[in-house]
Amino acid sequence: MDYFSAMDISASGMTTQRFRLDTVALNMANASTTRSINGGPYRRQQVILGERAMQPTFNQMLAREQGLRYAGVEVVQIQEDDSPPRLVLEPGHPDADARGFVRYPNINPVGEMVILLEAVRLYEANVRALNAGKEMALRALQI
Amino acid sequence: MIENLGGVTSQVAWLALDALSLRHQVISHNIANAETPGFVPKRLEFSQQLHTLVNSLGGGAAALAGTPGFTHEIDRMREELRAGAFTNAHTDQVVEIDMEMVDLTANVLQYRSIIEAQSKRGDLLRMAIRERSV
Amino acid sequence: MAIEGIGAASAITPPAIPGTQAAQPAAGSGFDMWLQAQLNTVNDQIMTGESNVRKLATGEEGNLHEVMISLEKAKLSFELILAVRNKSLEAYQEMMRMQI
Repeated sequence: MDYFSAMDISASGMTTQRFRLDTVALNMANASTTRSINGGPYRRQQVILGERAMQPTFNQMLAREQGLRYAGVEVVQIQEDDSPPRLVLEPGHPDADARGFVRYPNINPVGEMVILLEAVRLYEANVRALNAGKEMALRALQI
Repeated sequence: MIENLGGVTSQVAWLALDALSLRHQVISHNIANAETPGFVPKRLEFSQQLHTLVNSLGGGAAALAGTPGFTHEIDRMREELRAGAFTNAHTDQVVEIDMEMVDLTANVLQYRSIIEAQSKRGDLLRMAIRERSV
Repeated sequence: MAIEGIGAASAITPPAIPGTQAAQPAAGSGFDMWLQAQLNTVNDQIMTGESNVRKLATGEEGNLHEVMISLEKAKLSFELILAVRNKSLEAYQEMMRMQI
């Protein structure tokens, strides 16, 4: 019926949630990184998701199947968090500034864990949706 | 005759399956976008129209055979369904993942039960055609 | 042509065997009345099944088991009446084959 089947929709959900999971892992791993590749402390990465829509193909427009272009979700952007870094007083640290403060990444472990749990839950929900679609297709084979 | 052995009931049943299959896509889409900022959940709302269409036939055994007009109506509804006429965006709501999961399960069950019912009806017709019970 | 309900079939009457007028059973013999009644019952059950399936498709019927049971009833009743019909036909054909 559509170019993107229901299974692709669920797959997109699974992919994006995995991506969020990976981003959390990346953030947690770099929670104390004071020297990032671009200089300065590591900046927290944030995944922005967006609804995905498929442009109808010419054939589909001919057949007047324009309305339904549900294609799930996609990662729109990976944004760096602009909030100011955490300042910790460590005068002996090689990266300390003139006043003895070290700038650490602005990562809140609790916040990251919340995102982690949410991503896992949504991943599971998308797996269920995928299985439901698979079950329906298998049943239809038995008509 | 061969074209329409199942009559009205089969036409309605297959159209319902189309709607349920589409509803599954809509629900999957909602689940995939459960945490997408600004996303508006969508719903497929079709049963009212189908109900009206079936009632328009009236009662009686002759009505079950269907008419060319009815078949035309069914085809028209199928077109509208595919074009998204019955998919509504609920701008006042957010995605509630629990409700979506419940809808998902109910949808699968409805789908399976219609297929099962059609299978039984087919068995009966087959019995009549073959003049034996297997 | 559409598939009509079973009720459209005419009632079966026992064949008149020539030369045995004396043995004619009374008008409205038990068997054909019984058969007609059974046919009507099967027809009603099939109609109920059809109606239930339509209700299921439009989402009206919440009781899944009712739909399935009514369909199964119709199927079994039809199977029974089919068996009766086949046996009757067989008996008739055997009678016709008999050498007098």
